[in-house]
Amino acid sequence: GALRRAPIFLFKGERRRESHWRGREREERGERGFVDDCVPACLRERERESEREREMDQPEQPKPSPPPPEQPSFKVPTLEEIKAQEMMDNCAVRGVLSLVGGGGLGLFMGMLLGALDNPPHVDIMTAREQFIFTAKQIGSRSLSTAKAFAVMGAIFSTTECMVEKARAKHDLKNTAIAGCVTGGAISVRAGAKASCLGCVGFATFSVLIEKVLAGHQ
Amino acid sequence: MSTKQGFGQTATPKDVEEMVGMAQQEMEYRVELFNKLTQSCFDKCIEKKFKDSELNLGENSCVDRCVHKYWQVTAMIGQLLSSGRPPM
Repeated sequence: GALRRAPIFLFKGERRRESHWRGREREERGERGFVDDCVPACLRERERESEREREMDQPEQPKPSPPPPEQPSFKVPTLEEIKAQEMMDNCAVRGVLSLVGGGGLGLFMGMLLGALDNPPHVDIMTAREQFIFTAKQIGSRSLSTAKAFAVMGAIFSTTECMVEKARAKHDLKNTAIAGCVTGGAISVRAGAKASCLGCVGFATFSVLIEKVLAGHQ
Repeated sequence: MSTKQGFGQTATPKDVEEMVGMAQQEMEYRVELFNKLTQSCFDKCIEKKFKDSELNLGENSCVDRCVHKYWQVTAMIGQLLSSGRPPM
C-alpha cells in the first residue's frame, strides 16, 4: 500500500487522485485536508524551510552556559516547624511518646516470650483447650511485658530529657544517668543492692544501645 | 518636608544627613552585635563533630541560654556606659 501512494512530494493545495487518496471518505464528507495529508517526506521538507526562515530572522543567540549544579540551599525554619520542634523538646511529651512506644514494643516482645513458654500439660487437655490456654498465656504475658516496657521507656525518656536540658550538652553521660535512674527505679522493690545492680546494668545496656544506634550513621 | 514633626521643628538637610548617619551607625552596630552573638554562641554550644544536621535538645537549650545571657550582658553594659563612665 505505501508504494501506491507515490508521488511523495505534494504542492500546497494539490490533491491526490481520488482513487488512491487515503482521505477519500473525508473528501466525500466534504472536508478539506489536502495540505495536511502529505506524507512524512514533504513534512520534513517544510520543517527545514521554516527552520531556515527562523534562523534568518533572528541572529544566532549565544547558548547559555550550563547552570551551576544545584546546591542544597538552607531554608529558614517556619514558625510551625519551630513550634513543632519545641513541642518535641518538651520532656512530658517525650515521656508520653516513649510510654506508647514502649508499650507497643513490649506487646510484641511479650507475644514472642509467651509463645516460647512452657506448653500446657498435654495429657489432660484437648488440642482446642491447649490452644485456648496458650493464647490466654500469651495474652497475659504480653500485657505484663508491655506494661513493664512502657514504664521503663517513660522513665528513661523523661529522665534523659531533663538531664540533657539541665546540662545543655548532648553526651553519652545523659544516657548513662538516665539508664541508672531507670534501672534503679525498676528494681527498687528488691532492695538497695538490687537497685544498685539494676542501675549499673541498665546504664551499661542503654549506653551500648545508644552507641550502636547513633554511632553508625 | 518636615521629618521631625514630633519635635515641632522642621528638618534641615543637615539634620537629615545627621539622622541618616546615626541610623547607619546604629545599623552597623546591630549587625556586628548579631554576628558576634551568633559566632560566640555557635562556638560555645555546638560540638564540632556534626553527626547530625538537626539541633539536639541540649544544643537547643544551650543556644537559648547563650543568647539570653549575651543579650542581658549587652544591655547591662550599655546601661553602665550610658549612665556614667565608671571611674578609671
